[in-house]
Amino acid sequence: MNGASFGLARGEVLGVLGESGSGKSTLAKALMRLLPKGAQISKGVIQFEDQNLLALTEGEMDRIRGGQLSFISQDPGPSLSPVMRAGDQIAEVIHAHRDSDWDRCRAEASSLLDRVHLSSRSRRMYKAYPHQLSGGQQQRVVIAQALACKPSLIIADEPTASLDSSTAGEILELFRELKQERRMSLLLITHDPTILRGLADRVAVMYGGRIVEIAPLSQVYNRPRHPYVRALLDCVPAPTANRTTAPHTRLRTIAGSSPDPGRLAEGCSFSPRCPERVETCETRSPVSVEVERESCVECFLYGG
Amino acid sequence: MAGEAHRVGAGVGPLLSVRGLTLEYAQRRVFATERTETLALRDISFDLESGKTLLLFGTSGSGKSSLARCLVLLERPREGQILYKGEDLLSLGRKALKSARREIHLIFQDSGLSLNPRFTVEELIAEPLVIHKALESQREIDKRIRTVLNQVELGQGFLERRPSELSGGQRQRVAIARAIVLRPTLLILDEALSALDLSTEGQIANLLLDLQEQYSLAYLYVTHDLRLAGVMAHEVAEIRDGRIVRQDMPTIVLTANLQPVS
Repeated sequence: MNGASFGLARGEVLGVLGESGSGKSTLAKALMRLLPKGAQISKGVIQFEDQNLLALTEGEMDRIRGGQLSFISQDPGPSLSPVMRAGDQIAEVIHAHRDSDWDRCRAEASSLLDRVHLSSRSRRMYKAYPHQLSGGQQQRVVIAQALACKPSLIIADEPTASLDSSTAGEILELFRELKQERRMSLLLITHDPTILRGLADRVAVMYGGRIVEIAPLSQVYNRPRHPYVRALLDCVPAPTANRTTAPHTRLRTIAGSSPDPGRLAEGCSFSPRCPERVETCETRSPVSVEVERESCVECFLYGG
Repeated sequence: MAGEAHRVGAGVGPLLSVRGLTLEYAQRRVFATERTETLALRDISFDLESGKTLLLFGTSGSGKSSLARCLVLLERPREGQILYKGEDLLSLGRKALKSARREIHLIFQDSGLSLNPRFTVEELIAEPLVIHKALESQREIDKRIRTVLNQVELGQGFLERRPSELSGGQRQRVAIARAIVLRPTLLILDEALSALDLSTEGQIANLLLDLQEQYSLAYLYVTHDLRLAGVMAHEVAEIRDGRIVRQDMPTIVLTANLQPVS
């Protein structure tokens, strides 16, 4: 990842869109300060509320993680303990951060289960172990955990990627409700442009470890500027395609493959696949340019 | 609808004809004295013709993968017939079965798990030819491997690579190469496009469409995702709780299933 800069306002939903290897998950881990050994943040500032996260000690960071800053991963399975009841796993988060009274923690965990639409009237959901829950139900438990301490920012890394399309729709609907009801900021990371519609206020598109375009959602989707973003959005299959009447229809694709993050070439990393490349693209890296209010693009076509 | 057969396209006899397939999983719980039986598939029937694609749509737990596994005899159904070119695979002898197996292949979602990590791409593609003793001489084998590698749009430079040195899309291309190297008639694609990035997914889908046109391949495309139904499929069958509950043109199933998200 290289030189990513962006801000996120209170109550705002920022979608981070990128394909595998684009650096989107690395970005999430960097923000949580959970990068694997060997990776380190060599430069930069992460200003969260009134403090720089990079200047905090591990102990101070632990209090923030799960407190004001929560994380939801793609696969809920590994983030839940297999030997603990779902409700208790939520209560545990509250106990660790906010409240030492177990009864109150449990009561609050029940109401959180209600909030994520896992009705606890019969306490069946509260008492269930993760293996007794479906993937969608597990993801709801993880979301309830993330909400437990009323965080001001949730980072969700592909929260619907391991779910069926109908279950994924329900989880996205839940995020939409939560966005309206709490003034909570959400950083939603995904490879699928369709799930950000109706949810994200702004979208940052990543390629080769850089944010190549960041703008309000309507700008990115209706008037994409960066050649990669235009090509990527063209890849979304048309719902009206009909094989019986048009048998030779093919999908739009981007020629070539995504760059290997370990071996990025000189210049703009999209240049080998870019139909609009000029000579400069192969030797120099473009810088981010504000082409319109709140819309930034990293491409020589726009003066980068 | 179950029990009654539906046809994909029209023409001479179907390549694959499934009749009344019923599969059950028996399990004995710890400390339980009786076995519990779960019906994974109930009375499944459909036809599939050469050159056509039937998309089998269902959510997780619907039985769609059980059906895919049944068709390649990784599961033994309790009842029913799997008629391939008019012959029931479930009652074929070993020798006849082996020749049918040459023509039917299964491609999974994550080829990373189904490709032997110690083999090179060349060895991986050669393996089915060797197992089935499909070609006489080493020269023919080499020639076939190179042809197939070109067909899946991987250059000769990939011959020496191992799966760990390939991207997800490249691994899926190798899995397709392994499947088509024996010149099959039917490919079962079990979520074969689901783990890929958007721009790669289109490349692999187009490759499958091109190969289908060229060899008149039949595809049974098993997925939980209808986004590619219009481009890929001639017909969609929806499976729920082990039954086919609906079978129709993609456009009609799509209108019924795609509730607007926002």
